[in-house]
Amino acid sequence: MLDSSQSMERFLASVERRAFRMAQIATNSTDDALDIVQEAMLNLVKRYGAKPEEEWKPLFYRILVNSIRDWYRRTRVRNRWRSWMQTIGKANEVEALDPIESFPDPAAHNPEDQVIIGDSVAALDSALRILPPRQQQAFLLRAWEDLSVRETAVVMRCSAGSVKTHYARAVRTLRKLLEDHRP
Amino acid sequence: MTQDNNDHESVFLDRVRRTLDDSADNLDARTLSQLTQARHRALEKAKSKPSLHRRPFWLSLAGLVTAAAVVFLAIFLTRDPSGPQHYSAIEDVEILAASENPEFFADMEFYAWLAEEMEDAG
Repeated sequence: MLDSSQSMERFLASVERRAFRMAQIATNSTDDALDIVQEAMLNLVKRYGAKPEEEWKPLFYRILVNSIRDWYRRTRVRNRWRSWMQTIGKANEVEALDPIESFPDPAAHNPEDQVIIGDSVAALDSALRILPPRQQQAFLLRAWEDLSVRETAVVMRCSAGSVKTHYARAVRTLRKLLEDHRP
Repeated sequence: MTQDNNDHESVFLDRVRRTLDDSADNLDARTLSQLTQARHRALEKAKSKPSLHRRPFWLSLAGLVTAAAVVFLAIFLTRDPSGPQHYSAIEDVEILAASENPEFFADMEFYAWLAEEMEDAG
C-alpha cells in the first residue's frame, strides 16, 4: 500500500501536464504557467495533503483556477501601470516610432489561418484564448477534465446555471472559430 | 437542438479533446523536467513545513491574546442579547476559539458540497 506522500506524488504527476496546459492557455506564457502549477501543487500539499485522496482533484483545480484568477488580476494592474507610465513617457519625450517594430508580423496567424495551415494545437490555443476567462475555464474543466456541472461550479465558485451558460457559449464560439474554417 | 447538431457537437468535442490530449502528451523535455522539479519542490516544502506543535510558545500566546481581544470587541459591539446579531457573534467566537485552520472556514461551502456528494453516493 502506498503511503500518503507517494499517493500525493502519484496524484500530482497525473494532473500536472493538463494543469500546465490549462494555465499556459490562460496566460499564454510557459514561465507563468509553470509558476501557477507549482503554486497550486504547493498549496494542495500544504493545506489539504491530509484530506482523503478522492477530495484532491476538485481541491487542486479549485486552487489552480484561483491562481489563474490572481494572475489575471496582477496582469491587469501591471498593464494599467505600464500604460500609465507609457502615457507619462510619451508626454515627456516625443519618440519616433520604429517602423520595423510597428510593421505587422507577416508570420503571425489568426485562429482561422492556423486551422488552414493544419496547426491544430496552435489554432485551438488561439481560439481558446479568444474566450473570456470564465468561459475558457468552464469549457476546459467540463470538456477536458470531465468534471460534472456541479463539480465545475464548486471549482469555479459559481452556480451550476452559470457553468452551463459559460460552457454553452464557449462551445458555440469555438465551433464557429474552428469548425467553420476547417479545410 | 436537433440530433444532427448533437452529433456534430459530439464529433467536434472529441476532436478538441484529442488535440488537447496530444498537446499534453507531447510537452517538450524542458517543460516536463520543470514540472517534475515543481512537484518535488512542493512535496519537499510540505515535509519541511513547521507543524502547529513546533510553533514557538510566545507566538501561540500572542495569537491567543489577539483572539481574546477580538472576541471581547465582538461581544462588546454586539451586546444586544436579542436578534440575529447575537447568534452571529456566538458563531464568530466559535470560529475564533476553534483549533481549525482559518482556511477551513473559508472552505466550509466546499465541505458541505462534498458531504452531500458522499451521502448521494451512498
